[in-house]
Amino acid sequence: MTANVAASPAAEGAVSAVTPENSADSWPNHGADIRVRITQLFGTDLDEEDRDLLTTLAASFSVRCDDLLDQLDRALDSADAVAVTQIGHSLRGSVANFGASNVAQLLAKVESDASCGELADAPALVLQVRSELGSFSARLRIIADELCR
Amino acid sequence: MSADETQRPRTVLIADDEADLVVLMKRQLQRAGYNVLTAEDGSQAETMARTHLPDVAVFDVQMPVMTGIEALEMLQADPATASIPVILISAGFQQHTVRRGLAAGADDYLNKPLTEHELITQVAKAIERRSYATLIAEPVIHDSWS
Repeated sequence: MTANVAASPAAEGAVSAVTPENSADSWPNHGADIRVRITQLFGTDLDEEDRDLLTTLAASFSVRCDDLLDQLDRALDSADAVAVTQIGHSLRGSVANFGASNVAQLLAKVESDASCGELADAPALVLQVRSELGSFSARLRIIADELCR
Repeated sequence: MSADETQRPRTVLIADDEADLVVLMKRQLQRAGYNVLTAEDGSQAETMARTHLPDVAVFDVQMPVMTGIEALEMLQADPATASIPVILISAGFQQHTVRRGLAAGADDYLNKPLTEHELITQVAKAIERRSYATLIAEPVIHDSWS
C-alpha cells in the first residue's frame, strides 16, 4: 500500500486545521513547501519503508533543531562567532532538508554575519528562527502523521 | 574492464554528521540498487574509503574531526584511493569552499538540500565518468596479438 504525497485531500485538511493556531504565522505556505520537499525526497508514492522513515525523520527533526538552537544560544551567550557559524550552518542544512527555506535564509544571515565576527543581529534572528521552527515542526509532524497513517 | 566488472553492484560511501540525512540518502541510494556504506565524520570516511574502495563517495564538507575536503585531499594524495570520485555536498555555496573542494579534486559539488533525483543522477554520472576513465586508461589487448 502506498500513500500519495501530492494529492491527499485529507492531508490538505490537516494542514488547514493548524492554520488558526498559527494565525500570526509569517510563513503561510510552509505546508505546501513541506509536501514539495517530501515528494523530492521520497517520490509521490510512499511505501511502508518510506512511511516508517518519514515518521522517524519528522520526530527527530524537532529534537535536532531544538538541540542545535540551544547550542546556538550558548554560543551567542559566550560570543563565540566560530561556534555560531558552525552551528548555524548545521541547523541551516537540517531545516533546508525539509523545505524550511525561509528559516534557512534567516540562518544563512546568522552564519554569514558570524563568519565575519559580527553577532549584533544574531540574537534577534535566532529568536525568529525559533519561532518559525516551532510552527514548521508542528506542520511537518501533522503532514507526516497524515501521510503515514 | 570485464563484463563482470560492469555488472557488479556499485558501492557508495556516504559521510555526513547529520544522521537523519545519512539515513535518507542511504535509503534513496539502496532503492536505486547501490550498496551503501556510511560514516559520520571525515576521519571515519577516509578510513572506510581506504578499506572498502567504494565506487564513489559523497562527503559533506563540514564534518567534525576532519572536514570532507580534508578527507578528499588525503584520498587524492594516495594512488590507491586517488581514483575514487568524491562528490562534495554542503548547505550553501561559498565560493572559496567550492573552489577549494574542486581544486582538491572533487568530482562534483552539490548544494543541500538534495533531491533524490539529483543524488542518484550525480552518483551515476560519477561512476560513469570513472568507468570511462578506467576504460581509456587500460591497454587494449587483442587476441590476435597473444
